[in-house]
Formats: sequence, structure tokens, C-alpha cells
Amino acid sequence: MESLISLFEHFKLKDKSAIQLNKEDPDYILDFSYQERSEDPLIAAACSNFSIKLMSRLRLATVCTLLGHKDTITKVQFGKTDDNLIFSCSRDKTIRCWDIRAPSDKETQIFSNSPGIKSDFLCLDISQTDRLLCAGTELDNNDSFLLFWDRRCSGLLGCYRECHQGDVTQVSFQPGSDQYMASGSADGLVCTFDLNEACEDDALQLTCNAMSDVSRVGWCGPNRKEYIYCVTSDYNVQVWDSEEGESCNTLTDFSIELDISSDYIVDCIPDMTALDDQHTIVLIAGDHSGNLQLASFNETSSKILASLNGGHTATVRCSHWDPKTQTLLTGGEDSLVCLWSAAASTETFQDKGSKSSLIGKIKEKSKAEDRKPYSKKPK
Amino acid sequence: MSKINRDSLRESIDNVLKYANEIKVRKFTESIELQIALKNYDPQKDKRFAGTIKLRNIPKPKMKVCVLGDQVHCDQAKANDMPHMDIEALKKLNKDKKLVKKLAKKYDAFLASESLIRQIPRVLGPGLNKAGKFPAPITHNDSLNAKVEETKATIKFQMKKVLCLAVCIGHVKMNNEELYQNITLAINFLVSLLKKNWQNVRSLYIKSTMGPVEKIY
Repeated sequence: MESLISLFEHFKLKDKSAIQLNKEDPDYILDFSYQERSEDPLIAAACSNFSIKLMSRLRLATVCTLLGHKDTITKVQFGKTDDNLIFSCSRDKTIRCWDIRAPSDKETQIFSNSPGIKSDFLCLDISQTDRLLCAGTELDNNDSFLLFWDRRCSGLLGCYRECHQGDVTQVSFQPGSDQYMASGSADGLVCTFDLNEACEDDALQLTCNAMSDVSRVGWCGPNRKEYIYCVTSDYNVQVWDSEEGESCNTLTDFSIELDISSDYIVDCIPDMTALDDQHTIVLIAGDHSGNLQLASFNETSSKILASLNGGHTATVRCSHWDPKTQTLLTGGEDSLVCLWSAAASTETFQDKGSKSSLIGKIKEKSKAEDRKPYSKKPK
Repeated sequence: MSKINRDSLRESIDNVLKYANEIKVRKFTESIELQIALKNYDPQKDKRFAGTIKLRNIPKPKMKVCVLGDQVHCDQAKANDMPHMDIEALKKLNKDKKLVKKLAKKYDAFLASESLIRQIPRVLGPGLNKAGKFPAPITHNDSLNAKVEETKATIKFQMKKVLCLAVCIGHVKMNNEELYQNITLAINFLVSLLKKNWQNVRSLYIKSTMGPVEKIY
């Protein structure tokens, strides 16, 4: 933990890339996913113009764009075993699976609702072996569902409908597992399930009450499975023990507790949260002008680990921490994807040609091809 | 509270109270709600706008809270004359969906001791989740009374696909000062959650259940 703290002190902006250069009405970057391979991984960024942009992590150069969704994409996720697959869910009531090896950029599979369910999809996750796909829906007629598909055949496997009374906003499989899953919803509840149980009543393991609309849920702890954290829409953070359900750490009024001038919390860093006895929360907070701060909090102390400025110019919506290369990616409403790290010039990929290694703060903006700006629908 | 004239707010509150209490008195206690219309906000792209606020004065005094407690909490509840159940009573329901539903319907909110909360999914199943009334945790350190008051004073708000939002802020039997406090607290909190603060607010209204609307911004 100490080494990470000292690492953060040297954090600065390493790379920056714009999805689209329309200043008046930029496309927001709503969500990221990261390919878990070591050589030149890809990043999939979901943009508010209903497309997914694939970029290479090195130099953040755009590789291609996946089109097909007809409404806002709410979540994008790479496959966990086969990382050539990307799953995305959207408010157009479909989940699409894309194969990046395929020659065309049309989707390879579409999963849609069973006929009785008419709600939008708000979240998605894929299990470790890529076998089970789970998505959460919006509240429709007093029912919100957790739907399950087997990825190999497009038919619906089943659904849970009893456990939440609000929009299901987050679904997260336990990293490395096909069996345990956590879900968070607008009614303030975070539930964990054991999917090997036959019926929903038995599968529900734990219900934790965050008291307010949940916007992020994840697994954290030394092996990323001992604790669950949740961030609510009014920026309270809670950490619970995933076996017992007891609350280990709570953060309310984050701007006062951490003594920072941020307006909101982007997310926690799950790989670093709840690693010690005091279940320290490590989170990223920001303000609407794009300045970010990394902070840690537990009962006894709170620290600002780093200030990340100069990258974004508007609200930051999503973030990803890569523990292997120790870099942080952030994406925001200014159409920018920023890469932050402490390393100055330790990454050079031999097969990338003539570009010399990056030293210090070299910013590169790659221009996307001219796109039609996102047009607001008349109300 | 930069953008709202304090005196005109007090005047509007007076008008609402006068109408409800003098001009057209109804046979029930009307509640007063705050309606907010937003602008420059795209529900497709922008972040979800939702959360809970704790008001200073209780907006819904008739709210029934039941304590699901271990020995200590049940004793405290008995002493304070509050409805309570312990784990044995819950086990007696035998996970019968109908009975759990009936229990959920009877009370507006639940509080449960930490040790009991873990067992609720096992003992009752997802019935309370579905009703939206899953209990809030209480520890032995908190005063039970304070927690119940807090639960009654907390209101939830959520932005759906349309750009307006309404929350219950009080009732007509409260006096001007209490309503004023609740309204200012709620407005400040909501505005602080918005990206562009006051630039995102198109208008604010207060009204009683059966009365006319008073514009305050």
C-alpha cells in the first residue's frame, strides 16, 4: 500500500485522446472496458452517439468503431476468457456481442428480451468462463429483472424478479467466478447471489442496504472477493463483508471528510480498496471542470494521494485501473480518454514502429474521422 | 440559497398554508411537495440524478416504522412503545410469501439490528426487497428513537425519463419556519448534485395536495 501511495505522488498525465472534436456538443464517453492481455491491450469506450470505439492502449489510437446500437449504450464489457468478444447493452432493449476478429463491424449476436419484458437494459456482466451473461433492467410496471442468457445460444435462461424494487443499475460477477454475483439497484439495495442454487429465493445470499440509489458496485479486497463496495448516486461509499454482510467502512459527506473541493465521486479503485485491516477505501473524485483527485479514506485517516489535473475539461464519467501496468484510464463528458501513470518511459513496444518512447508529459490528440455530432431529439 | 428571495419564499409558504388551512380546509392533513423542473439536462447522456435527503422536520408524521431487533433493541422498542418483532416471530412466518407481503404492507419502513439483517434473506426471502422496504441497519450504539426519527425524516427522490421531479417536503400542519427550513435544505442539496447547479434548474414550485401551485423560482 505504501508503494502505491508513493507511486501516486508521481502520477501525471501521460496520454490523451479525443473521440470527437465538436466543442459545442461533445459525445460523452459513458463507459470503458479493458482487455486483460499483456501486449498492447485494447480499450472499448462506449460513446453517447450510440457507438463503441476501440482504441489501442498504447498511444490511445483508434482502431475501429462498432456501430449498431440504436440508443444510449449503458455498459460495455470485454469477454473474460475470450477477449476478442465485446458485449454491450443499451437502452434499445438489446445486448449485442461483437467479435473484433470479424471482418465487418456488425455484431455477431444479438440477445433481446423475452416478449413480456419491455424495459431498457441498464447494466451487464459476463461470468469468468464467458458462459453466463447477466443483465439488469429498468423498472417497468413495478418490476425490474435480472436476466440470464447462455452465451452460446441466444435464448433466455431465466430471470430474477423478486430481489429489487428499483432499476437494477449495476451487475458484477465476482472476478474469477461463474457462481457469485452482486447487483445494485435504485432502491438502495446491494444483493449477492449464488447462482448454483436452483431458485431465486435460495440464490439470494446477502442484502445490504445502502439507503440510496446505487450507482456503482464492485468486489474488492485482497483477492477481489472478500468485500463488496458500493457508491451511491449522492456519493456515499460503503464497504461490506461479502460473507457476513457487516458494514466495514462507510463514507458519507465525502467532500468534508476528505477535505477536497470535488463535486462527485467517479468510482472506487477495486484493486486497492479494503486491502488492509481498516478496509481503506481508495477512490477517484472529481469536479465538473475535469480536475480529479485520488484519495483514500478509513476511520482513522483520510489522505489525498494525487491530484490529476490538466487532462479533462468536463465531468469524468468512468475510470479503469490496470494493476499490471499501474496506469489509470479515465473517460469523460469532454470526449477525452486520458491515461495517467507514474512511469516516465518504461513502456516501449518493439513492434510499434518508429515512435520513440514517451517521456514526461507528452500529449497526443488523435483526431477521429468527422462524425455527425450527437443530435438532441426534440422533446 | 443564492437565487431565491427569502421573503418571497416565506410569502409563498404563507399563501399555501393559508389556502389549505383557511380557505379550503380538507378532511385530511394535506402534504406539501416541492416540484422541480430541470433544463439543460439530457436524461440519456447525463448522470443519474437520484438520492436521499434527511430533512430537519418530519414530512410524514404518520409513517409507521417497525423494529426487527435482537433482545436489546426489542426491549428498547417496548420501552418506547414502538411496534417490534424479534427473530422468533419472523421465523414463525415460515417464509410464506403472503405473510411476508402482509407484514411489508403493514408498515412503511423497517429498522433491523445488524445481527438480524444478515438472516433476513434466509428467514424471510426476498419479500421485503420486492416491497422496497428492506430494513435499515441499527447498531447498539445508536439511540433507537433517534434512528426512527431519522427514518421518518428521510425522503427519496429519483429522476426518471422526464425532466421534472417532485418530493414531499412537509404538511399543512407545520408552521412557516419548519417548512422554510425543509425547503431550503432540500433545494440546496438538490442543486449541489446538479452539474451546472442553478443553470440546470428551470423552475421550482410548491403546492399542497389539493391546493394551487406557488412558484418560487
